Formats: sequence, C-alpha cells, structure tokens
Amino acid sequence: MRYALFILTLVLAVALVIAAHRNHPFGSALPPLGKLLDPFGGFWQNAEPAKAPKSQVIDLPGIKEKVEVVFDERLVPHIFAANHYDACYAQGYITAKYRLWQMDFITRAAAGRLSEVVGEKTLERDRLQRRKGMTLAAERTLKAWSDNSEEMPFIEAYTAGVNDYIASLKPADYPLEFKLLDYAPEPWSPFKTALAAKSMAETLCFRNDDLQSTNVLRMLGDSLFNDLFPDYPPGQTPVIPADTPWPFNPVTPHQAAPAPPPYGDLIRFALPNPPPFIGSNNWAVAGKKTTTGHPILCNDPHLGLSLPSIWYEIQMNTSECNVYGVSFPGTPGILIGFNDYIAWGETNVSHDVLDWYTLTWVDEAKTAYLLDGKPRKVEYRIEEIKVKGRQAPLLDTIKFTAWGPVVYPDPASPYHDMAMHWLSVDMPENQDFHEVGVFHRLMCGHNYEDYYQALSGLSAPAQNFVFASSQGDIAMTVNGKFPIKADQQGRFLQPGDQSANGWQGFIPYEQIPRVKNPAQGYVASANQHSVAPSYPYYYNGAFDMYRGRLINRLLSENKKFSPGDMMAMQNNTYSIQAEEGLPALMSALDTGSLTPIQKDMWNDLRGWNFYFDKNKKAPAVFYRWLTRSYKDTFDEWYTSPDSNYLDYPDMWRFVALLKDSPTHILFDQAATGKREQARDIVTQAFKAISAELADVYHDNDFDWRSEKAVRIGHLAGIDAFSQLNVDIGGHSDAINAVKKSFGPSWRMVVSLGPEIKAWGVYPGGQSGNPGSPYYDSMVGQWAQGKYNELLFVKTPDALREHEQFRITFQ
Amino acid sequence: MSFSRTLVLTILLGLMLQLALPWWSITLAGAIAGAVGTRNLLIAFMAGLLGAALLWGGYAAYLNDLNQGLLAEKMGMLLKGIGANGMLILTAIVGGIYGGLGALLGCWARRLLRPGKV
Repeated sequence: MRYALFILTLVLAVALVIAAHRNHPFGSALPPLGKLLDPFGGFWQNAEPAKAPKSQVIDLPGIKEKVEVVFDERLVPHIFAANHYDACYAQGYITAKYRLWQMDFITRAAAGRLSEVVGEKTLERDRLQRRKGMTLAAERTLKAWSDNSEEMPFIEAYTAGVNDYIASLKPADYPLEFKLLDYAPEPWSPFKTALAAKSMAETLCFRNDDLQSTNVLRMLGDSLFNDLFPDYPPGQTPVIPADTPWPFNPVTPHQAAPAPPPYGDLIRFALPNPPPFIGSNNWAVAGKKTTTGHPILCNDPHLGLSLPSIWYEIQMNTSECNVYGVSFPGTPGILIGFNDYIAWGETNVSHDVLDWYTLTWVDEAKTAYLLDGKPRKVEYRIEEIKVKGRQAPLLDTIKFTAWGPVVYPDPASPYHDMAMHWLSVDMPENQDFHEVGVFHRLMCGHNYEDYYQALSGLSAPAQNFVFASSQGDIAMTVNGKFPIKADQQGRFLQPGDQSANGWQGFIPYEQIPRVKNPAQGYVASANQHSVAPSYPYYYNGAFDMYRGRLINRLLSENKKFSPGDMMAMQNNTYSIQAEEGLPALMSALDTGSLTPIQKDMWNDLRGWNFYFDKNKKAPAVFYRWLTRSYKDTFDEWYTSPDSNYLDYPDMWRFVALLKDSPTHILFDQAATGKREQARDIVTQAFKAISAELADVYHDNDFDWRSEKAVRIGHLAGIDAFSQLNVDIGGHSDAINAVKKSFGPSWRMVVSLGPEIKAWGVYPGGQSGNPGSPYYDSMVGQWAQGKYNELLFVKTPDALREHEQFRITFQ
Repeated sequence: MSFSRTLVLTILLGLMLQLALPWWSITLAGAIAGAVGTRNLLIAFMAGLLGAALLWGGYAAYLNDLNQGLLAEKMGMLLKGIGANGMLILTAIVGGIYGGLGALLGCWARRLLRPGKV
C-alpha cells in the first residue's frame, strides 16, 4: 500500500513532466511550459542583454582568409573580406545569426513544408504550394545553378556559413520561434536558396487572371468587357517614356491568339492570387536636374510589412567590390544597393507570365490528353508531405502535362481539366549565370555596360531595374524573360490541345524595353504599364495607374532636386486618385438634403488637399465613399455567387465612368425597380457611410491613421511580436504607399558622384529576435519619414565612432 | 536545519545539472536534495519548491534585468496578458512545482528503501 501510493505519485510526476515538455500536451493549446519557462534553456535565453555583446573571434574551417565583421550602432554588419567567396560565407553566418527562423519559415512556406512543424491546419496550403510546382521549380533552378553557373560558389559559401552557425547552436540558443513551435533548425542547402528565390517569384509574378477574365467576358460580352478593361488606359505615363524609339525588327508571332472560350457556365475555381498590394517606386535623376550635379537614385519596394522585416541591411567589402544595400535572408548578395561606381534598384513589372490551358482528356481516368491530335500521357510526381501529429506522411500525386501541373486535385471535378504554365516553373535556359548571379554582377559593376550585361541573366520575376552611375548615366530596363504572345493571347483561358497555343518564343534581350539618359533628365517606374502602345510586342498584366503619373509629374518640374527633396518625395502622401475621384464624387452628389454630420463630412472633403495625412478625417471619408460607390456600382459582381472568380474593373475606370458616363447602364442596380444613375449611387453611398460613421466621426481619434490601422505583423502572426496601429499616413495610390499591412519595405536614396552618400530606412530592425532591442528599432523612424545615413566605408577603422562590436572569422 | 540543507542542495544541484541536462533536471536535483537533505516529506517538498523557485525565478530575473524586461513583456502578452512580472512569477512557480515534486519523491523513495534510518 505504501508503495502503491508512492508509485501513483511518481507516475503523476512523470506525466506532469511530459506535459510540460511537449507542445500542445494531450491535445491542449498550451506550449511546452517547462521547456519554455526554464531560464537555462527556454525563452529567457532569448532575452538579449540590452548592452552590446563583446567582440568575438570565431574559427571557421571553410573560410579562405580572415574576415572582419564590424557591427555599427544599428547592428548593420560591415563585412571586410579579401574575396567575394569569404564575404558570402560571412554573410551566411551573420544572416543566420540574426534571421535563422525567418529563413527556415520562408523556405518552408515556399516548399509546402509548414505542416511538418505546425500540423494539420497548414496542410491544404502545403498541398497547394506543391501543386503549383514550387518544389519542382526550385529543383530545376538548383539544377541550372549547379551546371557551372557563376553564382554557385557564392551560394555554396553562403550555405557553409549558415551551417557553421547552426552547428554552433545548443538548444538553449535556438531562436525563440523554434522554441515556441517546438522544433529544431535543420541544415541549410543551396536547394533552400532556390526555394527562397521561388518564393520571391511567387510573390512578384504568380498573378493570374485568366479564369477571372474569362468569366467576366462571359458575363459581360465583348463590347462591355472591352469598355471596362481596356488594354491601355488613357493618360498613363509608361515606365519607358512614350517617345522612346524602337529601332529593331521585332519577332512576329506566327499564330493568332485562340478565340476566347465560348460563352457558357462560369468557372468556379481560382487560385489565391498574390495580394494586389505589391508595388514599388524607383527613379533616377540625371546630374543636370540635381543640386549635386550628379545623379541621384531612389527606390522603395512595397512588399508585405512584417517582423522580422523582409530585408537585412549589410555592407560587403572585398578586393573585388565595395557594396552596400539590402539582402534577402536566404540569398547571398545584395538585391538593392550601390557600390563605389553605380547604384541600382527594382520595382515589379507585373506582366502576365502565367497562363491556363484547358485539357481534352483521352480516357475517363484522365491519364492522357490530346496534344496536336495525338494522345499524350500525363507524368506523375508524388509529393510527400509530413504532418505533425500524423504517423505516416501524406502522399499527394500531381499530374504534369506539357503545359505544367494540373493544379486542382480532385479528378471528379470539372476543374480538374486545366493545366497551368508559369514561367517560374520552366526549366531555366543554359546560361553562364542566373537570378543570383545577376546581383553579384551588379554588386561589382562599374558602369552601364556592366549593368546591361548583368541584367541579361534574369528570367523571372521581371523587374524594372533603375540604374545610375557616378559617370553620370541614368537608365531604366524593363527586365526579364517576356513570352512573345499574339494580341490578347494569355488573357483568357486557352485550349491546351494545340501546342501552337503556347508562348511563341521570348522577346530577344536586345529588344526588351529600356532607356538610357532620356532627354527629360530622369527615369521612373511605379508598376505602371511598361511602354506606350507603340512598342511592337503585346503584353498584358496588372498595372498601377496613379503613382507613376505623380512621380513623372513631380520629376518633370523645372527645378533641381536635392537628396532631401527625394526623401520628401518618397514620403509624399498626395493621391491622384483623390484628385480625380473626389471631384467626380462631389459633382455627382445630391446635396439637397444633407444632415448636420453629412454637412461636416462634406466641408472636410471640400477643404481637403488630396494628401492622405494620418491626422485628417477627409481621407477616411473619401476612401470609404469611393469604395462604397464602386461596390454599389459593380453590384452585379459583388452579389454574384461567383464573386470570388471574377475580375474587377480598375478604380481609375470607375472614376472615368463617373465623370464621363453618369447614365451608364452599370449604375443601375438590378434589385431595385427604378433605373439608377451615378448620382443615385454616389448619394446613396454617401448616406450609407455617414450612417456608419455617425457615432465616431467627431471623435478626436477618428482619422486616417485609426481608419487604416497599419499593422506590421510577425511572420507567424503572433500579435505580441507585432507592431499594431503604426502611426503613419499614406495610401496605396500615393508615392508613400503604406497600406494596412503592405508598404515601403525599404526606402533608399543614393547620391552618386566622386563621393557617394546614401540614406535608408526600413520598417523593422536588424535582429529577428523579438527579445532584441534591434527587433523593431527602425519602425518609429520609418513611420516619421526619417532616414539613417548609411555608413558606406572603405575600411573597418573608418567605423571607429560607430562600432558596437566585431566578429572576426579566421 | 534540514530545511535549509535541502533548499541549498536543490539550488546547487539544480545549477549544476541544468547546465548540462534539459529543464526536467530541476526535478532530478530536487529528488537528490530531498533524498539526502531530510526525512520529513513536508519539509522536503517545501524546501525543494522554494529552492527551485529561487533558482528559476532568480536566474530569470537576472536575465530579465539585462534585457530591461523587453521579451518578458511580450511573452506575457502571449500568455493571457500577465506581463513581465507575471512571467517571472510563473517561471518561479513552475520551477518550484517541479523541484518540490522531485524533492518529495526523492525523500519518499529513500524512506521506502531505507526505513528507520536518518
């Protein structure tokens, strides 16, 4: 009996220990409490001392010569290495030291391996990633890199650096998120760098509207469709100035686009698109238009606002080049930056490089499809997905056709009959270097010729590469591999039984849109149309209508710009959408019977200068009013059971309808008995939003800031590690394109010339550890539009006043 | 006497074992301390509890101080908003429970195996 009680207590104690050791013990929502709270190994070990650490010397067998890494007061590493290989090695080590979990998470998300550590709830997401071909794409990219490409040694050096860091870790040292999710870091590999590259491609060039456009075409008919979705909007100012000549003989497509599929049932299937908020600005101004007499280059890529931030700031100094900028954790090198001679930056091109094809199956089991009159067997690829909590992995069989994967999983479904062709899954062409090599060439570039050569290696995601050199050149290239398509080809679903319906080659590199030193004295891009309709190749995609026009308007002013002017421009919240949209709304409003609150709203709007400033009420009213009027006008879309599978007209088109066609049939609402016009819709919308806002409108804290509630969220969505309600204005159509959770992810201004000066800031911090003071240290500065002067130095000694500590690798 | 002996032993053994072994070694430390420190079950439990709570809470408080409370505040938000001090108290309690439980079992086991002897 004495023993029985003892053994019972012992068993209870062991059960308590197990409960505190495992994540979600016995199905509960608890983290591994004992493991997590243990001050010797749990989260307390991630509570970094606020004071700078001591300098360290680390022996790394893989390094060729000694490397010094000096950390400045913002924790930016300045790597001084004898050669490029060692610099990449150190970059891998240092990036892992500060961003290891982020690197793991990004590549897991890309590869469809989240369920391994999260469990069932990410399983469908993982399946979709693989069905999109992400793992195959990364395998092909790695194969191309491994084939003697220029970048492979750098990728291997980076990998070795990351792995040396991981090998140095005890469980107590693991980044916090590993402890919270209760898993251990695994070794890095070049394959993971390929996944990181594909994850960037997924964000930037996966967008596809073929099914949505086909549905809308079926819903509206040709004439209304063409009216609402024109190829080129009037008033657009393209990336390459409209007067740029095209002195070459274009390749003519040999096959006209297949007719869009016949009118019939709507297609009730669409892949989740990347968010429409991805956008960016860049521009370069020639010396004749700057106060310095030398070019100034600016770039602010708008991506998801997250903590840890997508960018990691770094300087890499070697005997080959001295370069500063931002890197993408998981990828060796610098993606946006400058060196002693040149500066470069990117915005997204958003051409459509993803097309859908319908399949004609030969047999009931759907194992073969018709291509050019002959049956062709599908190829099978089996994806193994490990799921936390399951005994055996899930095996998912994916069918591949000549076009690409059959993305939809259920063979019984009619939507199983389509295949996806995405440029990023294609086997890369055999060339000396690829996407990573492009940046290493830019990093060591000296002039326009080097830039021209470097860009030839990039296929996707296509980017508008802005360029400026200390020699005085400025340039812009709409750069990437662009499929040659017949007019309208790839806009709608195409029959996949004819190989002639495929892409008709690629635009030769010499013929892609570019401009060097235009007479206007500046180049600029902001995700708008690449070229005017005079360019001899057809392209379609999703393009911005407002930011590019504003940048062109500001830069064409007859004045000389200083670096300070450029910073002010990057933080400019003026909106052409409001400049054009508000008068259109106001003139359509029936002001006959306004209530007191409606009068206040009206007066606030009348006094508004179209700046989306954080402390004003008018931007909130305008934006609600505009979007509400838009939704009430296109009620046919929103009330359709297929609203998720339709393409929606651009906002500029809606504003033009308000102004030019106030009696258009689209303003009629089917549900009511009468025939509405723009006036009815706009008035009804104004009343509706005044009712919504009645209780809050006069509150002091109701303004654009509170309306938008900008959130810089932790990558795994943990609120406690996020910055909520950031104090900032801006708007998607303003240059300072801060949206709810997207926005300028790095603002950079580089003043070239004999002495290079540069400024930058991003909404995060250099450390990925939520327990570090450097986790989100730049957010406040970023929100206020302030910049850091970037410490671009030639020797470690030049940093003496700024040095916190250093790591020496030998 | 036996109380403070058990308490000090829990802290010292805990410190040594935890540098090499996972978190549950605090239970092991308590068990050894309870076995050699006292024959009174209540004293064993209380001394193990207090010793482990002091070790965990004290070390956590030291790390927290260097970190100026930054991470504990966030972790406290994550765990139902208990704040940085709440995290320190929770850490001390959890450490204490596992140390005290170990001490109780250690003392008890020794009494079962070698009854009558001190």
